[in-house]
Amino acid sequence: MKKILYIFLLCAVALGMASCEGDKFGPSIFIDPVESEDVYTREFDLWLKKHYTDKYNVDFLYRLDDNATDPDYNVVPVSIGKADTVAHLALYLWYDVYDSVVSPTFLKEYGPKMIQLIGSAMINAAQGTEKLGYAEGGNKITLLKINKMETNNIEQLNEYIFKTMHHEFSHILHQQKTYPKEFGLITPEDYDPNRWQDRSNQEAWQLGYVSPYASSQTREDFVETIANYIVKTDADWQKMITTAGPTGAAFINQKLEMCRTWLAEKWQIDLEAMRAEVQKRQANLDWDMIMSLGFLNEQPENPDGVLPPIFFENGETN
Amino acid sequence: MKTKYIFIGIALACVLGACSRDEESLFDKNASERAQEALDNANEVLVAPEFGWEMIYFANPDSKGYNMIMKFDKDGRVTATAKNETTTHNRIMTDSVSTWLVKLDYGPIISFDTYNDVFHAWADPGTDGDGLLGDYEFLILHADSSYVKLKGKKHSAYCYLYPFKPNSTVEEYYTSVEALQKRLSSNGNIFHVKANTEEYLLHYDASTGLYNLTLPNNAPNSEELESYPVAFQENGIQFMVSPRALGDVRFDIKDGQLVSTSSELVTAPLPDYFIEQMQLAKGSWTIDITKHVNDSLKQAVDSVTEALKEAYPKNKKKAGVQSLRFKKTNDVLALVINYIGNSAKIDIAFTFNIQIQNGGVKLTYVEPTTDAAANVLTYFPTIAGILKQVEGHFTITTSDVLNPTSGLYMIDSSNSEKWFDMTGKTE
Repeated sequence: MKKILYIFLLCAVALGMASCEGDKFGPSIFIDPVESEDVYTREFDLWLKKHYTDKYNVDFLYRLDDNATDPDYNVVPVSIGKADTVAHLALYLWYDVYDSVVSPTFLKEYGPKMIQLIGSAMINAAQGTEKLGYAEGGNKITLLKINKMETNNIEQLNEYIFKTMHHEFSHILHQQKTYPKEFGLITPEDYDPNRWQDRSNQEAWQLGYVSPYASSQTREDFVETIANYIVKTDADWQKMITTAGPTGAAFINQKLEMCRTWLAEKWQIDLEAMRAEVQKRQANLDWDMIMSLGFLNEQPENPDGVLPPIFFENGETN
Repeated sequence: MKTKYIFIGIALACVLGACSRDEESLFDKNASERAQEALDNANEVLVAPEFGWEMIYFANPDSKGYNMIMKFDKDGRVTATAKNETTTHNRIMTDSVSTWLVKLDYGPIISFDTYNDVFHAWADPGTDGDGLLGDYEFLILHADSSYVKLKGKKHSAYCYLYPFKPNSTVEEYYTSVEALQKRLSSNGNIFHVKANTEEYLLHYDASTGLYNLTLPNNAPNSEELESYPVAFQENGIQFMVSPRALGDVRFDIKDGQLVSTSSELVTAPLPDYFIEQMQLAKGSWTIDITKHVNDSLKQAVDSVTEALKEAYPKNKKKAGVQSLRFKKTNDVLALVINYIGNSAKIDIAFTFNIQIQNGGVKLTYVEPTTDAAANVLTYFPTIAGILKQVEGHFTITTSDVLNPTSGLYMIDSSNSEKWFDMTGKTE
């Protein structure tokens, strides 16, 4: 009797649940590049899938979703042409560098899972500052002001994109393995999260920071030190050290050494090798090669320098 | 044991009751089906017009409307064309390499999700973080083959799309729009609006691109109540939201009036318009004293000019009356005589009492507005001849009711030989 009762009960519950069925869903609103033959961006989307999603497990987001932005700021999407260029440059000056210097699987394992491009900066007019990038939850890097990018201006490319990528990725790394507490004790008194923007480069350098933003708080100082060291040329780095004076230079060098040790011990990253590879590539941007895998194949103005091909259609490095 | 059966009974009732089919169905289809239908409908509607859409784009609730032509392709591309002084320096500009997407959020949304040089200029934060406060994602409030209505997701302005006329090129379209804008707005257009028992005035402010709503008391300090962003089309105007009791947002020209499906914008009676143009639109009326002018007024002007030449022999060539215009000056309505004596042009104002009377307007000269004017009248008494020629009760006609500033014809009610013509402008 008891058994029959339970069977009956089970059937009734199943019937009750099944009666809720009825929702029929249409095709997903999310575009699958493989299935979307008639979509204008299909070629680019397939290229991104191959070179980013499949290889590095990262979603390269260039079509802006308003819900994925900070509502306190007004922003605009990136242009397809600029997105195409950044996608190629990021492979050349960032992903492929890690593949070469650290390991081919490092970024797939630890790198951001989403890279989002936004056309404009996030401007805080009251403070007189603009945000060029940010990292969220160790998973996502957002790069801003991409529409203003000049492809033949490596200093600007670094400022808008690659310094920002190294900066934000360093955040992701220290969010997983914390940086040494002693770092914050080197120049603890001059951090100013509210008025850092009032400092000039020279003032920041002389206080022992590699940039005004580095002087905002310890964690920004840490990642700014790494990012600036990687992308700054020897000449620019030395100019900063000279201008910083003996005191400022000593602080900066002390911080750099701490970063170097932390990267080596915690992540097995050779900062000097990383920097050397980036500097070599920056000095010899081969646009024909970089864009040869292109979607729009927009050539930048005045490309100069020639470097032997670094990666090929199959993504292998030489 | 009995308790157990009761418990099972309650459990069954709960399970079955939770999904009871007896509940009255408010919709034919479930939520996901209706959402998908809305998306499908929006997609189909937007790509349907072969020549795209005329888009009246209000970037934000305080922005005047801008005219664009948007062409949505099935492959997700959108082509935007615009011509305006704010974002394209009055050149026709087209950009085709950007994308659009209809998706579901709080409702169907259209997202312009990659940058378009033409379209996103309004949403770009510029250097102050705000820019022109436009949007790139919009709620789709209405979509059918006759029109689409959007609402900016962040800044909440309404936009309207109408199928672009197939017999009109882009150049012809903007030429027509600009011609109507000039006709309706360049000299301070004024409409009367009746809402229940109240009557309001709508007058166009070219500096902001807004129609301002005011009380119709002819008072110089009439309090401004509200402002309504507007855009001009080929054959009508488009408000962002309906002004007061008008009930409609789009008005087309028909039989010389602006009408909508349910109401019309009533142009001001000409005597009212004559005064309101000076008070509300800060305009003036210039009397034609060179070409189309009656003999008596011409003689009066000539006699003052002669007197000026005699008084200023060193500047005999240039001395003379330059213009006559009615305008509000020093808080009074006055006839301003502009003349050249020694060298520079000088304005001298004479106060007139202007009253609406018997379907016309009664102009009565009162006194010189300033001591300087009184002195000039003493030195040049023939000025009184001019003042006399514009005094009296005048009936008023115009060749264009929608733009009376193009020409007001004043004829003395008791003497048809006494007349003068005026054109209006804002200063």
